[in-house]
Amino acid sequence: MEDTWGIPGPTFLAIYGALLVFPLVVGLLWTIAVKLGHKAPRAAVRGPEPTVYELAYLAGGPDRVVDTAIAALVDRGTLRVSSAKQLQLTGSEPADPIERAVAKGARPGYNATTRGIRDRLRMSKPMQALAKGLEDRGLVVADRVPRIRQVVFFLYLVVLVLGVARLVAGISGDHPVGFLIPLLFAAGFATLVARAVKNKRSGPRPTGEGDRLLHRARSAHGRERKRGIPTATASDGAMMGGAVLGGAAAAVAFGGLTYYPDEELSAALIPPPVSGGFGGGSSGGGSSCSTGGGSSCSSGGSSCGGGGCGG
Amino acid sequence: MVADGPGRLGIGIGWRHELDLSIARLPGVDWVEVVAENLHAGHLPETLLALRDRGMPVLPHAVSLSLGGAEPLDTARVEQLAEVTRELGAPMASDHVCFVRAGGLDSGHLLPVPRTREALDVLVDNVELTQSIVEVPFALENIAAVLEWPDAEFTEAEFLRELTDRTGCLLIVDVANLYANARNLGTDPERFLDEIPWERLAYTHVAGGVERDGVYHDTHAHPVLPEVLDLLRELRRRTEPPGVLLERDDDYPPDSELAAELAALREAVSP
Repeated sequence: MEDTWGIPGPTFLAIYGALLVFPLVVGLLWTIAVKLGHKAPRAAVRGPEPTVYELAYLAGGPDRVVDTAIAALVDRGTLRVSSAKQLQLTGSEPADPIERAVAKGARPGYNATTRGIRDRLRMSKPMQALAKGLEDRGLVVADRVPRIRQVVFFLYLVVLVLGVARLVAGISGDHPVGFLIPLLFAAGFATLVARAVKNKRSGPRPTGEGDRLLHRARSAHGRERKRGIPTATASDGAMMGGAVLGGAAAAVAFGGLTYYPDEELSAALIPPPVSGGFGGGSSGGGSSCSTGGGSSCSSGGSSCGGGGCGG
Repeated sequence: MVADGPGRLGIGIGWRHELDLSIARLPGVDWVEVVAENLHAGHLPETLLALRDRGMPVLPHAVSLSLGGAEPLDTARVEQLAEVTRELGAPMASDHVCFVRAGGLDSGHLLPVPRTREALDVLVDNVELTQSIVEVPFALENIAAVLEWPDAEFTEAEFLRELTDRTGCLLIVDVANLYANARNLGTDPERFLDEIPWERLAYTHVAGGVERDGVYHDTHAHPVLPEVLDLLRELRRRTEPPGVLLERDDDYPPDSELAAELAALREAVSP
């Protein structure tokens, strides 16, 4: 009896067993390579002082940037929020590209909410430009993880298809397939896991230098607040330059929307929990606070508090 | 029968869902008025109840009673107004001198009542029935008319005086509507102000609008015109209004602009 595809059963099983771990190994090695590769440009380029939006990106990624811009615009009166969590642009669009993108999402007639604007801006041009600027200065690592996970998933899919093809060919050739079936189950399971991991949202990755910069800015902000420097002044132009960090925007940049200085507005800005149980981890623990109001949240705060998320 | 007014109200703003958190934070808001048809008794918005619980007067204002209509009064609507009024703990309730329904059709606009004795009789009957259902003083507001019926037997002020004399109802004088009628129908607003029975004034309305192609539109979506503020000053020369209310229903400006308009109203009626 001729071997299926000219490969004897035991040999195929051995090859297939190796193929089952191959995507995982590729993924791990690739991840390590990326990490090693980014140790090099850690000699960060000294750039200008970071803006509040750059700090927000370091602290909590694109969603935090959006939250910070919303906070800044609400604080300045450019956006209005109602108790129904609807955001509305009240005047002309601001000049800052991130702020303008946020404001555009809240023009009259738009059904604008914090969550909706986050979704709209996550992959937007101004957000990518912001990330690129941070990357060029060695403060964040371009996030290759989603790409790696995608490739690993694809490899497992190929392995699974190959196994199924062998099974079908084996059965139709009247070959024994009893040993192949458990391996196929393993391949199917690995494919499912890879798919779940691929779909998981991954946060931004500040470099060590990015983390240090964020930490410095955060402690400076904390010190200023302790010294009682007024922080809640609206239309503070200096805030945008990044030299002086104050106001609602800085509080939200570092801590998330739960730290918006007005409790009722904070509750109105925090998106309601998603019923599907799909994580809001990067949003500073917002979901648990959205109905309870401020006091229950102010101490609990952001899970990304000290050293930044995913650093 | 003469109803007592709501007392001193001060400067207020029309409460709208979109503005609910802003209004709670705006400086210079002494009271609010809320469109009664937008509320459901038993389910009043929390932010509105918070204002009431803070001690701020919250006055319901109806737009759909159609008191000038020839058809029998829809008392279910009046009952709804009465219930909302009770829940708000409001010292008075109101609607307009107009009709909005005829022959089973809803006009979608506040339409003027012919100023004839016959129409006045109908209006008086409907107002008296309304007063018997709502347990607080009831007021009626002059509208911005899109047209004038021919063969008027009264001027607008005379008509309102007859109405208040016969029913004891109060008046809400909308100076933006007065301005609109002056621009669009050529009426004399100062004469109106001279003839109105000021002892019946509950409060005044002020709103923004815009002139397009020679017609003034009372949009409630534009800034208040200086000419309208001037009319408010004219009114102030004749009486001290117990309250002044800013109506803004669309294209909401920043809080700072609303606060500035409220301050302008306060300035216009300060002695």
